[in-house]
Amino acid sequence: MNLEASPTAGGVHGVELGIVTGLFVLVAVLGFLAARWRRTGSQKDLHEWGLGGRSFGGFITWFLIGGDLYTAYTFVAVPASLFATGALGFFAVGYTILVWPLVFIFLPRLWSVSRKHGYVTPADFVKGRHGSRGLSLAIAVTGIVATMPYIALQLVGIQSVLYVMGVGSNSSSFEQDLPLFIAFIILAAFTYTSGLRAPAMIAFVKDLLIYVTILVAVIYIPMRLGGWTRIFSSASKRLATVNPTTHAPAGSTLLAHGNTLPFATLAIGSAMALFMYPHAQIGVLATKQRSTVRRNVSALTVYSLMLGFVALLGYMAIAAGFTTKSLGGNTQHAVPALFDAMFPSWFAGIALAAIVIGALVPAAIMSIAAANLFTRNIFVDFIKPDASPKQQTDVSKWVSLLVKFGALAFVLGLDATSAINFQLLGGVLILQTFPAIVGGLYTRYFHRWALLAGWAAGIVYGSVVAWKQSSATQHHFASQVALIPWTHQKAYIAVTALVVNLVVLLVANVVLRAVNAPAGVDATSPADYNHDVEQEEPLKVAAA
Amino acid sequence: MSGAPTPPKTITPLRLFATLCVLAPIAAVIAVPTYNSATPKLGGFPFFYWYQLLLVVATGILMVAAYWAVKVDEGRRKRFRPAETPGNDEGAGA
Repeated sequence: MNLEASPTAGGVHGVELGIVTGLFVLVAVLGFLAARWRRTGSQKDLHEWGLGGRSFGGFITWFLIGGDLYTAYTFVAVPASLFATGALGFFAVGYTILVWPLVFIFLPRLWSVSRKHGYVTPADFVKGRHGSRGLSLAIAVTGIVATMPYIALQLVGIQSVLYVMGVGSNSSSFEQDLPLFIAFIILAAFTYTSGLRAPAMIAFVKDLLIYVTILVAVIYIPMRLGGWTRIFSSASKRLATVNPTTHAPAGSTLLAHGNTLPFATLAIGSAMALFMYPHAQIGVLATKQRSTVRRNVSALTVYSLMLGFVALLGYMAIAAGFTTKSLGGNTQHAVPALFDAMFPSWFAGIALAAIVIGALVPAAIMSIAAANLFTRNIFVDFIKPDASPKQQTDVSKWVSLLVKFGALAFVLGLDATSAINFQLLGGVLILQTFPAIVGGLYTRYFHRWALLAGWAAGIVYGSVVAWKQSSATQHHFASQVALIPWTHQKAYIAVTALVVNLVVLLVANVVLRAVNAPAGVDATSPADYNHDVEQEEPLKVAAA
Repeated sequence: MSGAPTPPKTITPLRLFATLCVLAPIAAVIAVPTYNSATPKLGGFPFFYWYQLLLVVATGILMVAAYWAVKVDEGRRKRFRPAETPGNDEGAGA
């Protein structure tokens, strides 16, 4: 094996850049055309722009939810994490396994109650269920704060592709970032005009490209690298090398002692967190019938299988001879650089385009979700309670632009590392909304103020602990796992914070119930959680 | 095995089956020590890796089974439920 492992040097890669640009233009056109696709009902309602008219059947839903799970960031970061640390990074597969049973259990109930009452966001549901605007505000703000860096990370994915193609850079000079800037303006424009229909339509192209790329990658690259046995053995040899800075091996291809609980908590915590993200729930709320999601769950596991193979691209990058140093110090470049080195340039172009387009779909869905949250649970609840449906839609459209440019500023102004840090923190924060949302789907036992107290405790604990994690190379946010207090065992911070959240919730609940604190009005009834659409039923948006 | 049809109970074999199908993958993933091992290998893959990939496929199959069970169960319930009396469906989640 004497492969040239220095693809990041040299000039612009013309063929690749041409193919990526061509496919990007195609997708942009689709995005604008999507505005006219499957038009139903009144165009003024937020359902139309923000939930695609709640009209999506199984086929589209499969692509749309897959788009949430399969972001450019997963494509880049999951393999990068195997590249850097080994087996622990493979928790992503366990996580995407656990997601589906959880979805199967609770999302139909959320769909039913949201459909019955016209809830557009999870915070709408929380307000209706617990009769508390304050709690709903907490959920909405958490959702927005957690989603913003996630959008920023999609840009990081695009950036690393541009870097490998010889366009753009790690530094943040304006000319270097111009391609990224242009890509984002186009994304912002078609999201503004077409709403959720744009990512739904683009998701077809995106997935086609991704599946072709991955299928070819997992067959062709191992052949060139001398087979899976050699890939795993060179990965385990490289990961065992002692790092001179930390005086410890980087990792291993099996879980080291003490990494079992971090692995398990990362998997379960991330799975519980995923559908707390507003962008993940959007794909579910946009479906036509209660059964659509459950019917889809088994087909959605195909994404998880693909994710498993994508993760292993990290080991292939090791076997291909890449080191952190040859990647310009940034392990996030591992997969784009691998594609660039292994594939003939025309196919590398397609593979890199898959990553770029893979960034557009979730970025659009995320900005729509954040915008819906702002409109419904901040603008209507606190600023203009009598906003008409048209005004709500307009506010949402503008906020979706704001959110995206905020993310762009984030990436250009700060560096990629801080975007990743904030995204990790976002996972810790969003999981703290689990008791209010999922708990609320099953029981009214929890008092609204107790839920709020638990949420606050989890957020404070999680943020402080995450901030305090330092390593040889990073002062803060250096790790997703931390020691559980009073033990020598590490676990995913989000899960430990959730335990803190639950303890505070239960104690506060007992106290509040004992003193008979006012519990708020529940706008829902038990039957609403099993509501289904038997025949055509007019859509409505919940009153403020 | 009574002759006259009676409304289904809250816990039925079908619901139990669906619940097991849904809980099995969760239990399998959490039991990390059961699969944190290099052997037996398969096609060059250490056990840790091929087992989890296989678990994804198994989860897909279990979800189909759970969906089918819930669907049949809901169909049976519907026959005993006139159009406008949505019953108390505590366990309908899984």
